[in-house]
Amino acid sequence: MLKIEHLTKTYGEKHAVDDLSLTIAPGEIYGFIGHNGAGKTTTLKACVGLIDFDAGEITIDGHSIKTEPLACKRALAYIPDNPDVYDFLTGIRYLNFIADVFGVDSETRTERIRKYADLFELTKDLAMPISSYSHGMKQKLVIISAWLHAPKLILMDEPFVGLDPKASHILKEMMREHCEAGGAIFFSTHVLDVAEKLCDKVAIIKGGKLLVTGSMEEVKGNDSLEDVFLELEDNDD
Amino acid sequence: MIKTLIGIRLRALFSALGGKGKDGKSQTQSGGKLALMICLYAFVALMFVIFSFSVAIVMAPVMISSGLDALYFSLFMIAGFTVVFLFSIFETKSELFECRDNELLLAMPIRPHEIVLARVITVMIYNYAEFAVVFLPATAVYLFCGGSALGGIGAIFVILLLPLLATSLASAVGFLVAKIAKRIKNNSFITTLISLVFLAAYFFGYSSLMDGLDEFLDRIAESGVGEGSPFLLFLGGAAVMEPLPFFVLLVLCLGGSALAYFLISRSYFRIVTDTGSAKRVKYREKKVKEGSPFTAMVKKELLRYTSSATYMLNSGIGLLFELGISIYFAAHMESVRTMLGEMLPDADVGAFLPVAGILVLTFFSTCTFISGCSLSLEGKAFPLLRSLPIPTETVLFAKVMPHMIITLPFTAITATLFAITTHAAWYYVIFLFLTPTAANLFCALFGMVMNVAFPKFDYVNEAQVIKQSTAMFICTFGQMIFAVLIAIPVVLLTVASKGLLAVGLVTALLLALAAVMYIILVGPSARRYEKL
Repeated sequence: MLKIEHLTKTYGEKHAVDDLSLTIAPGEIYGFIGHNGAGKTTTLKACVGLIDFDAGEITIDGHSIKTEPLACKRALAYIPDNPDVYDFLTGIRYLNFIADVFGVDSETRTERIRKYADLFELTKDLAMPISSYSHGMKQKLVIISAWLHAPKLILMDEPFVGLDPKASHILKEMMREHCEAGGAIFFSTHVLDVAEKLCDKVAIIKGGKLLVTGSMEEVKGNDSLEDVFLELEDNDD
Repeated sequence: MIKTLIGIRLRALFSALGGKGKDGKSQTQSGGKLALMICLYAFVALMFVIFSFSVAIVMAPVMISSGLDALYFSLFMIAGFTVVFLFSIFETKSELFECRDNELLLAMPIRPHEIVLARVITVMIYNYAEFAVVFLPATAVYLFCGGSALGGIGAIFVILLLPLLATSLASAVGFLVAKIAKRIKNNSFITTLISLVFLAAYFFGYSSLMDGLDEFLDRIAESGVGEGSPFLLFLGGAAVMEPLPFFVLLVLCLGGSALAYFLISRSYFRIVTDTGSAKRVKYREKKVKEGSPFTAMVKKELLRYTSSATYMLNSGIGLLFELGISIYFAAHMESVRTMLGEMLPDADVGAFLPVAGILVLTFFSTCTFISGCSLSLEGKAFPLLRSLPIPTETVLFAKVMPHMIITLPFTAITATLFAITTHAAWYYVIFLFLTPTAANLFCALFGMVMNVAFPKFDYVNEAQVIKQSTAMFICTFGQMIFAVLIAIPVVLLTVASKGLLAVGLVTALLLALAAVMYIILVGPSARRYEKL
């Protein structure tokens, strides 16, 4: 579903991402872990086509993000690290905007909006301007918009930030359901407990380099993910 | 603390002149672009200076020799005050009450009045510069033409005092609008309406004053003497250091500023932190009509435009002037005919009227800048837009469309009014519709090209993008200067009885320029957008 090969991105002399390769198959939840500034967001943005990269290749559902960006974007949904959406729209207008962009028919969008807005208890606020939403409400809205067009791949940058425990639980359920239906998820997180319980595979990145990647069992063995992560960080220093 | 706060505001202002370039580098870091912006600013300032100088050089010798020094200064005081007030009226509201860092600063150990002071001082720096380009040339001419030294000293005091009053008045209007806007639901429309009422009141006062001045000048022309408007003489008296007018001006400027500063500081915290009392609307599920990505984008852009009073007023003020001038022409056609007869004694006024209408509508069409900041206004939501599967051309043209959708009805109404009131021949009627539409099309595309070239996504308040960004600066002055430049040959050709040829050529030129802009937009601009 997502294939990253030898991705390299530099800012001046700094290597934000250095020769990173990984593959995410349909049905997988792939966690992306690293400290602040490790290169997680740069990698995710490169996958969405938001930033150009110096070397390597990214393919989504068989399409290159460099040569066929629109085909890639049709197959994915992106949840950025900050839910900065159009404050001047109401929640429902924003969802309809996204549905129109992705060509979701009227019946399907109504059904999905009802389902996910009810799940996140956002239905009654959909007629209010997004400017009146709290950070958590905006995050829920962005999550609903990502699920609205049933993408094959969902890329999320710190999706649990700002969500209350109930909403976090719902999101985890949704992620699992999405992957059981054949979709794939690639997300960055600092919440190692969540990654450990939720992810099928995990990648740990530091200074733009991939330190380790593989199935959760392969990476952590009998230890906790937190121990492995801290040990890798220390060893690399 | 105040120094630090002003430093932050000034950095924000400077960054507004630059933009967000590739790799997130501020464009102000680029020496070439900064030099270009300085040149542009210098050019616009020079235009104001030349205009002020050319008016002053005609008036000064006559008025000084007639002992009307006070009246001479009063006219330039009003002109300078008008420029400052109009330029800052909406800026103060955004700068004071709509900055994104308001809550951040209030959460720090900074007193609200320090925040207010820092922001007002920032606006004032601009205002002093604007007032100076109008008033300084007049003062220089006054001294050059043998005006009194006292007048020169008084003028310096006027330069120091009057921008204070203009800024305070603009801040007070912004304060009232912000206070009312917190209490209402459709706040962008109501804010626009209130702002327009203030503007209309201001223009009414200004026009009454100018009428009084006209009468006074007529009296001078007829009998060689004139008593002048007492208000104007009193106002200008301050500039020639007459004790009472000077004292009144001093008290008015300092007292007015102190009062405005006191009132705003007292309410600042409440206004900024007030989340408003607009009623909550409960969502009811409705059947939704599907649309194409292009339609969805256009709808979104139109909602963006109507959601912000600052955006509507600053980028669409030309439309209101267009409508206003059409109604004025319709109501005062005979006076306009007489005035044109006096101005162009060799021209056939009847034939010139439709051409004048075309020129007026074209000029005000170039005073509309809706597309010039629409990309920048994406702000922090820009990555989200880029992540959507919408072709670049669709995004760019969806941002051009609102300009046309909003301007076309105004063009249709005003062109119809002009066609009726000027009794235009059928071929002029075509041009009354076609030429302003061509101008609108050119401006819409030009604005988008400029905004892609100079985007600015990381702004603290909308006004920084709508009023002070490079793209809007180039659009505002570039388009207006262009309109003035094309008007000159049209007037000359019309006087030489070649009006139809003139408007035909102008229309062809506008359409050709629009075609060039289209080519740039789908070519280099589209490529640049994809790299942003």
